[in-house]
This record gives sequence, C-alpha cells and structure tokens, in this order.
Amino acid sequence: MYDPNKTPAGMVGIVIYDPEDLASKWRYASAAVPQELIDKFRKRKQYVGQLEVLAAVAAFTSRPEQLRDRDVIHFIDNMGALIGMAKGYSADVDSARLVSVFHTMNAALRANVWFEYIPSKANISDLPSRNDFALLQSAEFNATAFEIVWPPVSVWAGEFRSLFDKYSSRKRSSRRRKRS
Amino acid sequence: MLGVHETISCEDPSFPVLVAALFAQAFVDDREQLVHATDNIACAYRQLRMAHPEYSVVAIWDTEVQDVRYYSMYGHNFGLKAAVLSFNRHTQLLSWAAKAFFGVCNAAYFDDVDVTEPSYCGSSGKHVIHKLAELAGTPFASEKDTPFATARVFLGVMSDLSDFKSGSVEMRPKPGRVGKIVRCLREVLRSDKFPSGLCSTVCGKVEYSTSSGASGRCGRAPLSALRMWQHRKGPRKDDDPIPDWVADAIQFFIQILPVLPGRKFFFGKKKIRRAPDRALYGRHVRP
Repeated sequence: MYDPNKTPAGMVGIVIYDPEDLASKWRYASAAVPQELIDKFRKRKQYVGQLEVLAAVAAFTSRPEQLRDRDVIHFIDNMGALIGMAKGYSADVDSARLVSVFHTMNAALRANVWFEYIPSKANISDLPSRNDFALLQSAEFNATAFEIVWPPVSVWAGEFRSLFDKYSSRKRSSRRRKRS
Repeated sequence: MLGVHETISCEDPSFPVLVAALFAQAFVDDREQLVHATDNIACAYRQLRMAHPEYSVVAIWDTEVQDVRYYSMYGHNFGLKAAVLSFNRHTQLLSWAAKAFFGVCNAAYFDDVDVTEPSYCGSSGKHVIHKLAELAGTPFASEKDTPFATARVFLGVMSDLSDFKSGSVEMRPKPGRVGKIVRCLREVLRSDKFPSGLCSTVCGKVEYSTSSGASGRCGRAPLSALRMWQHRKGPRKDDDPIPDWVADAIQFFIQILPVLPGRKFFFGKKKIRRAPDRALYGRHVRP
C-alpha cells in the first residue's frame, strides 16, 4: 500500500496496491481535509505535520475491511509522520491523538503494518494529492477511486471506546489471515 | 577519570513468543508443541551478598528501647542504585549459563525467569535452571514455581502457545490485571490527584499490559502523556490537580483497556507476492 500526502491546500492522497483485490488491484483517493477537522487542531501557522499523520490514518479509516488481518507495507513520505506512526506517539498533541486513533483502531483491525519511508518524488500518492490522476487512470494501472473516510471527530471528545467498537464490529471469524 | 556506564539488559514479556517464532523458523511445518514455565527467586535481594556491607547501614526505630538501632545489611538493599545492576547481572549470568552450557531457552528479568521449550524436553530446562540457581546460592521460591503449561503469565502478560502447532500464538494481559488498573484509574479521576509514584506504577502496568505485549503500539500516546505528568518539571506535590490532557489519557485507558483483544502472532509458510517494478512504475517513471 502506498500512502499519502501533501499540498498547500490541505489535500491528501492515498493509493492502495493490493494484489489480492480481484476487483481492482489499484485504488486511490484524494480529498481536501474538512475544516471541521482542521478546527480540532491547535491553532498554528501550518498543519503540514498533522495532515501527514491524518492522511496516514485516513487510509485505514477509509478501507478498514480491506486491511483487516492483513500484512500491510505502509509507505509515508514524511519522516515525522512515519516515526509517529511507527513508535505510536508524537511530541505534538494533535499528531499524538491521531496516532493514538490509528493504533486503537488497529487493535481492532489487527493489521500487521510495517511503516516505510519513501521520497516524495517516488511516492505515487503524491499524484492524487495534487489532483493528478493521469497515471492512475491509465490503462496500465486502471485504478478505482474510493471515498476518504476521515477519523471520527468524536475522538477529540474522548470517545475512544466507540472508535474501537466501530472497527471491531465486523467479525474476522470467517476470514483467514492473508498476506500480501 | 574514566567513566564506566552500565545499562540493564533484560528480556520482556514477549520472550515465549520470540522462542515460538524461532522454533517456527527452524522447524517450519515439523513443529512440536511448546510449553513454558516461570520461576521467581525467593527473597531476591536479600540472598545476594554486598561486597561492602560496611557501607550499607540500616537504621530502625526500636520500639522496646525507644531508640534508633543501626544494622549492617549484608544482602542487597532496596533503594541502592547499584543493587539493581548487581542483581540483574547475577540472574543474567544464570540465564546465560543455562543457555550456553545446557541449551535451555530461558530469559531472566531480574528475579523472574521464564523457560520455554518443546514438550518432549520433559521439563529438563526447568531442572537445569533450578540446579544452577541452587548452586549459585539463590534458589527459586517453591510457592512461585509454576509447572510447564501452554499458557503461562510472564511479567504480567499471558502468553498462550496452545495453537503453536497450528501456526499461531497469542499474548493477552494477565486475567484480573486490567480490572485492577481500571479501578485504580477511576479512583484517580474521582480524587483528581495522581501522585508521581502512583503514576509510575500505573504506567509500568499499563505498558506491560497493552503496548509492549498484547496490543502493539496501542496506548503509547496517552501513556507518554502520563509519563510527562510523572516527570513534569518544577515543584511537584502529590495533591496537584490533574490537567485536562492527563484526564484525557486516563479516560482513554479506562475505556480501551477492558475491550482490547489479545494479540495473535502467526507462523507458517509466508506467501510473498511482489509486483515487478514495471507494474508499479512502467513507462511512467517520474523524474
């Protein structure tokens, strides 16, 4: 799976490569971050670091069933976000909360995630984050678009239990663990 | 003057799972059932003699004569920084000797020892480690001697190896521990006081129960908030009111700890699919 990122206007892009997804091996998403979420962050001049983490988390909130019980390689082109996600915490409170959302959700999803750095210029997710879909929509990739589902705002009000319950509601009993 | 810096090196609660992973790697599909057992050195600190007991003097108020009495303490003393390193060195030596000379898969965490071995070993690993501990003059406590079983608690985390042959093992918090932590945290919220000492104890228990063992990195962020509170700068009082960000972190654990599932680790043949570079980038390689 390739992950996210950037642009000045708070856009995020996500690309997922799943060789076992028979419907579409490549999927992508791109969207501007809702103001409602930005408002939850502490006031600052720019939100680059927080949005990088948000994009990483959004990949899992958007396609939880695809990633449930799977081995996932998650490429991120921002070192701060990468380290935060891998370590499970961040010195920045907003990033720490998002990272915590991810790991709480992942305790329910049980995805086995390996975080890896990728330079921005080699990051395929950089394209949708800049509204450049030519490559992904080409015949070679034939990628399918999906909607980004943002982390629930309720976690800022301390509703972690509902977050966990939400992502653990689909039972994994019938599905065998897959590796990709 | 040349300074010598010594750090503590110990295994963690995931040791039985580590052994399971190594056995799975070595024997692939011919895996035999693994079992593990734990031991605890009796009266740990008191059994190890100090090199210089004349420097370790304990003062006790004698209630009969209503005066202070001084005693030289021959065993290791709680509160001495050097005692921690010294004691750990001793158990690490025992552990190393059992590994190097007898091939026993074992790990020591201060006075706690775990032995994980295939069931056909017939408890020989435990026998070796017991004998070594006796010879070293620090025998294990008989009341804390747990026999081999597929599921045992090591350092507060239950490692369940019962499905090892079919390709998975599970780690989960010790039964009852989560309830105790949650009750303690509720009380902290109610009283609006979180003394640093209690905070340190709770952090340690939470860390072993969630982050390091059972649930990956879940809870690391709120745990770091609690650590920040524990080590906050400036004058500290035990009855300082809890700020919102600490209350948030406590609330997180109250809500999440009871519902966290165990963590499963899978073994067996791994099917790796790798897409060729051309499929990823093809003719569209970007500059």
